Amino acid sequence: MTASPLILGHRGAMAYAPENTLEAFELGADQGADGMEIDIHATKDGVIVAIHDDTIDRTSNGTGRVSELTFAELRRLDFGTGNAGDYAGALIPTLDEIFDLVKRRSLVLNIEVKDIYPHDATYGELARRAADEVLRRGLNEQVFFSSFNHTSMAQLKISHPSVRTGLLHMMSLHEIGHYAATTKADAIHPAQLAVTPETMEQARAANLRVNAWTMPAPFSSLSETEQIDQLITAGVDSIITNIPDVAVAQRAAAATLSAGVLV
Amino acid sequence: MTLVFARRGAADVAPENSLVAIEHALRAGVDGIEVEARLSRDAELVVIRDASVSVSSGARDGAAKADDGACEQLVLVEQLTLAELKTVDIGGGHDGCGGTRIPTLAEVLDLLAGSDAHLVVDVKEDPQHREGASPAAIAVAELVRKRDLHDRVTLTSTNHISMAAISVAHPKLQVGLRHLVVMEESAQYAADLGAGSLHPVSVGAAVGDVNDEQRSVMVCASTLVAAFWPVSEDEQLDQLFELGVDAVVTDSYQSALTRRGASA
Repeated sequence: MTASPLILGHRGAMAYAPENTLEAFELGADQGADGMEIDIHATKDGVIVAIHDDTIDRTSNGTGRVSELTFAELRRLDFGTGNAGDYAGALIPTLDEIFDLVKRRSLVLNIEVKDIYPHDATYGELARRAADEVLRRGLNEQVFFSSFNHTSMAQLKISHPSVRTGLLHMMSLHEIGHYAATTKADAIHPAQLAVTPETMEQARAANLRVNAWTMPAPFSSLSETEQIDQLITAGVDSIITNIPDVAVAQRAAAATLSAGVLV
Repeated sequence: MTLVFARRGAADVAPENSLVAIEHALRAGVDGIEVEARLSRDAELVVIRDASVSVSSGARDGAAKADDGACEQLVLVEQLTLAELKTVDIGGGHDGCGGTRIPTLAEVLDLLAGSDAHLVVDVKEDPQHREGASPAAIAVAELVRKRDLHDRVTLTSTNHISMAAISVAHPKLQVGLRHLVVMEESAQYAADLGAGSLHPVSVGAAVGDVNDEQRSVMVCASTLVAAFWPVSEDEQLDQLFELGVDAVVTDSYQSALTRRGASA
């Protein structure tokens, strides 16, 4: 039986290893996470890679836009230096490599599509190309998509009805079940602050899954541990966090409490 | 014509959200000002962006008296009274602005009475606020009603549940929805909720609102500040003017006024 809620490492295990690297995904899984959340972009030559920003400046020893560099160029760079732990030489991973890992370790994968940059024409296809691959590999049970671009999620549902989609948001949405229905989304992906009893109730009534994420300071005055506690209490389906090891322990503690086996 | 709103007043020449900064921006000819409002512990609306301020321990009633030194500590605005907040000097970062105080929303409305500028008041919701209209939103609505300024003020928030409730309770109040995503059918969503305007933050979010074919509400777009976005304020303004939003909210109000002038 799978424990609930699912614990997904944010960009792998962001507090402990360089974000969006295979090393981070493996570490999160080793720490007991059920899977991870990743961000995807396309390179100049069309390879889908995991990286958060639309440039490589912050997370590698190179500079430039992902969409203006080839995969071979990106692959020569170091995405591990300057992070906690000894990860020098970590490479930018392809979506293919991540799917291999997901299959090998039976992980759950949330793909956040970074199609929020209006200057990039290729991003319209990014979600659909990734979805093609999910279906081809038969990974639809383990993979779900999300985006801050709700129109792109609505379009993905039209081209790939069986693929699961989610709407990322920080604001508290009015009658969220009704709103989500306009996109045919399967899930909402609220920031912890937006997980209100009203939102939970409306999401449940609309048969939407709730995959919530913790917020860093200064956006939240609560610590990440406090946010995780609140999300477990609220009864969300998944928690996306930088500290999957802590979240896994908190989930186990909550389960022990509710089972009444207090020591 | 695209209207130009100065974010937090003329924050380039005076402390953001101060009366001086607002006066400067009005003199420069902006169409409006956008400010943030929060509630103090004694339920006064104060105009300040951050959730907490640095106060000296001596200025706080009931503060730990054991601290002898003039110790500065960060305290949440909601935990301070107006009197305590008025001891805070927000002028430190600007030459000649020492001693500048956090204004109340009432003081800002007084200042606007001498102009025909519009005011967008973004309420920073209490994160613990869960249902219906938030106390800060209710306080703004009541102040606007008391002053009969319904045609001059728009209340906005990222808490759309609060905005929906306030638009029912105060149908004359102009309500706007702040958001940072590309929304699907946003105009219909806003209309259903009783909101007259959408307030997308970032060019990307604005694209969705402007492209909505059902668009019947104002789109008042904010640029993303440098800390969050590598694209310059000027480049974002170019994109927003090209999109044809109804209003821009920007730190570079002078630059936006030049563009507005060129397009008028």
